[in-house]
Amino acid sequence: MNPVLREGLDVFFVEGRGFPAYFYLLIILAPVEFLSLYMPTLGEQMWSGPGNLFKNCSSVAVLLIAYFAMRVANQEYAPGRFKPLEHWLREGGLSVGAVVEGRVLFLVVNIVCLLILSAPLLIWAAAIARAPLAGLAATLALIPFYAFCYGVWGLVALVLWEREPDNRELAVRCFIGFVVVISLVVYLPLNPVIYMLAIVGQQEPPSITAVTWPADSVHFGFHLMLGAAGLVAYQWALARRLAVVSKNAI
Amino acid sequence: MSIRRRRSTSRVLPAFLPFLLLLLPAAAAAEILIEPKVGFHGVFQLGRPFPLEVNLSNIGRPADGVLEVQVWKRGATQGGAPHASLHRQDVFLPARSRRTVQLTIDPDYLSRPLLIRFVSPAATATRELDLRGHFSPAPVVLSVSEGSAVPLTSLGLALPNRMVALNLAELPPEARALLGVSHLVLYDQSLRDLSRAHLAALDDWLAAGGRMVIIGSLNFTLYQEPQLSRYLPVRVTGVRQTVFDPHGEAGKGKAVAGAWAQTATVLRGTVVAESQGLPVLVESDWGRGKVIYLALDAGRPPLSTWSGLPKLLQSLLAPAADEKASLRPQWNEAIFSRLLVTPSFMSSYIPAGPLLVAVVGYLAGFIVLSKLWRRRRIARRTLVLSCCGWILCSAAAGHLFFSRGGQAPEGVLLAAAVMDNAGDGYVETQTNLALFSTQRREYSLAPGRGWMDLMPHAAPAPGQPGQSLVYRHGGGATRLQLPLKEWDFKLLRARHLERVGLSAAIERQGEQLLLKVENRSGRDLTDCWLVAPGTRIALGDLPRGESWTRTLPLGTGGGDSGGQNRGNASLRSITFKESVHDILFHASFFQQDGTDAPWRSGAALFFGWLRDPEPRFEVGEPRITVRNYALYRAIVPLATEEE
Repeated sequence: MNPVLREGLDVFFVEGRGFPAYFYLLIILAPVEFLSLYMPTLGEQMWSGPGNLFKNCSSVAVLLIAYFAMRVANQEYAPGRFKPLEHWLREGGLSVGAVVEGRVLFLVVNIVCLLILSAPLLIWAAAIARAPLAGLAATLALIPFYAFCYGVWGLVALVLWEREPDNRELAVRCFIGFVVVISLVVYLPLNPVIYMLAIVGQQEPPSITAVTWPADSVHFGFHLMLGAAGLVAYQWALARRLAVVSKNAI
Repeated sequence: MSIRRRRSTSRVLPAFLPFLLLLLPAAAAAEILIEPKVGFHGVFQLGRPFPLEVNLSNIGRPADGVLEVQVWKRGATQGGAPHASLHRQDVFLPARSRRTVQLTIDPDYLSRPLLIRFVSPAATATRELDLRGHFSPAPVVLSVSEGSAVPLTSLGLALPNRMVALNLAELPPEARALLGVSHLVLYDQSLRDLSRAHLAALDDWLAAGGRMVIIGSLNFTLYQEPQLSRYLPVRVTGVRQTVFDPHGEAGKGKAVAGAWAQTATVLRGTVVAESQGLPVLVESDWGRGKVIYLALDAGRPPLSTWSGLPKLLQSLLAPAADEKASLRPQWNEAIFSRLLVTPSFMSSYIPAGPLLVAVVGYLAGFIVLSKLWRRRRIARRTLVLSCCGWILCSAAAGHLFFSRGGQAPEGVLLAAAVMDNAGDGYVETQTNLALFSTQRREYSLAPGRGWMDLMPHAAPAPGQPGQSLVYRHGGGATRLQLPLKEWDFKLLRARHLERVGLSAAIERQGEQLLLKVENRSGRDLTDCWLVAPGTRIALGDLPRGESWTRTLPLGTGGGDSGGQNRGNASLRSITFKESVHDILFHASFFQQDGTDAPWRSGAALFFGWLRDPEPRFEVGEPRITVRNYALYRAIVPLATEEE
């Protein structure tokens, strides 16, 4: 097994340092789901709250899972328990590719865990709201996709500001906030929550601009580019870091 | 060999030819001919339901199909775009057969033709009918007579109404179909052949405001038959000649000597005219309607040739005085929303309890697993598998449970009725209905006996296919089919006329009010109130089978006496034990637009809630929760001292 991945698994699941992320996810999502039944939507049809239960829950779930995935990737849980990059690259003798693989796999494992834990709540919400199975399946597929696309930037921040945890937390939040706001301003269907709500509601994603591009292509194109750019940036930052480490060693 | 076979065939074929000929109609394709008959001999009142008789002739093989009549509702005059309403009935037409289907339809937009279709796998037939040449703006007057007829036609243009002479068999068996009829004139006519449905229809039509004019004849025994005598305000005993002196009557003129008149004893009602001690003209109320009995034989000389006869008949057929439109409870989505978010309703359609248990149970499972992990008593692999198993089981069990409703109903039918006293134990019930669905499914709503009207509050959205209203007829009942999406609802309104055994009478006696209430409805009347100018009294509950006769001071205001609160506070401040009653009460009495209610001007008002009222609508589905509310009210204008 990849040593970087093994280290992450040990810290999170053997030592139990990652459990708070899962605990917070459940402790936020469960009350949201229960209260959504009574939380009326605005307007005269306020009684149809249960009909929007799945929409509310999936919106909250995608935000929470993406957020916690980003935090996990950024090593915001148990930061002192992870070995620094320098250790893996110099003493461990791992290649950049092995480190990328280990960290990315660890991110994926966490995203899957977060999704699996929240899945029953989402499935119940879908059943209560009579959401179609296709909508449920699409939601369960889209959530990890978004979590990865945004979470990978946590890895980038981790490399760029490894010894400055405050800076990197701020930087990665600012970056993701910026991307989300820009996506809302430029083209509404780019926003993951809006797009997912449209998918669940079996509607066309709304657009506030006069220009209407093909929502699916633009949305997925944008997020694939975002995720791929994150991976490339992560690899580039690691390579740069390796160069610095090698230079310092010499 | 082939020659022998050919010979045998040539022998057998003639033997089977008659059978083949017999089978020929069955082998032929079905061909359907549609022959409609509109209204009463082609006449109906615009804006009111009327009978439609569709004769279907099949000259081919059997056809099992659906008869569909498309009518157009709500044109520009009522506001909104016209929309189609469909009436459907399953019809089986055997080979070479003819069948008549009777429907009651109520188009109110005649610019588009009525479309009649018969659709079956064997054949399809369509017929369009332009209704514009058939309608009358005024109600229709029907005349039913067996032999000689009263010369109603002699009235000519004196009446604005169209007069139609019918056979008894042509009377529709549904009260709704008679709503466009103002008067039914019976002369020399036995009602023996009328079915129970026909008689019930006549009862309901009368109670709804119809007027039955029964003109006496020499054949007085016809008037002693129970089917006819039940309507008569007199007991007919015989016939004799009399001198009819129409002094002071509409047909002013000389006295008519030798006029044939039935002898009778008055049972109820008011004697309007007498002649030589005989009650000649007697009127009695029947719900909101009236039965008018003329003892004179107007179809035989000398009365039939009397010059004053048209005026006399005209006076009998005078239109009813315009009644003030009863205060119609107005509903909208806001009222419905308020009802549905009351805790008692929410708990009926939201699986909040099961969801709470599920969520808590799910989290509790993880707490147990985390404790096991901390104690490290079980292997890590077992723990991981337990965790996965717990998640999987929770998800699957919860999905199964909640997708089947989670103990919540598939729909909620809320029926809020306001019953207005119509006299003689009849009530006119106006019901606002809300059908709320938690599932995507089709509902079939059947109004009970005595229904006059059932339609949605709002027209279906234009341009959406499959949004037409569909009324399905058959089995002696009509059902409104309502397809609803999940978490969708439909607001409807209905009108019934029924006998419930409740009556309330309020009379002013100087500075006091005499209240008489009789409850033979089989249900308790709860939270009763009497409100009159300056008086508001809580009367409490009136159990079933009991009655009240109370004298209450009028307009004293303030003070308590015998547990009865009197005061000048407005009706709006009246509250009930149930919050749903509060909402419905205010929606029933106060116009949504804030205008003053008609009862405010010097009327006394008695009202109370019927406990567990009988359901008026049937959805035929146990997984739909039905909530019925019924408010009984009697609004009586108070005469002043001078009056």
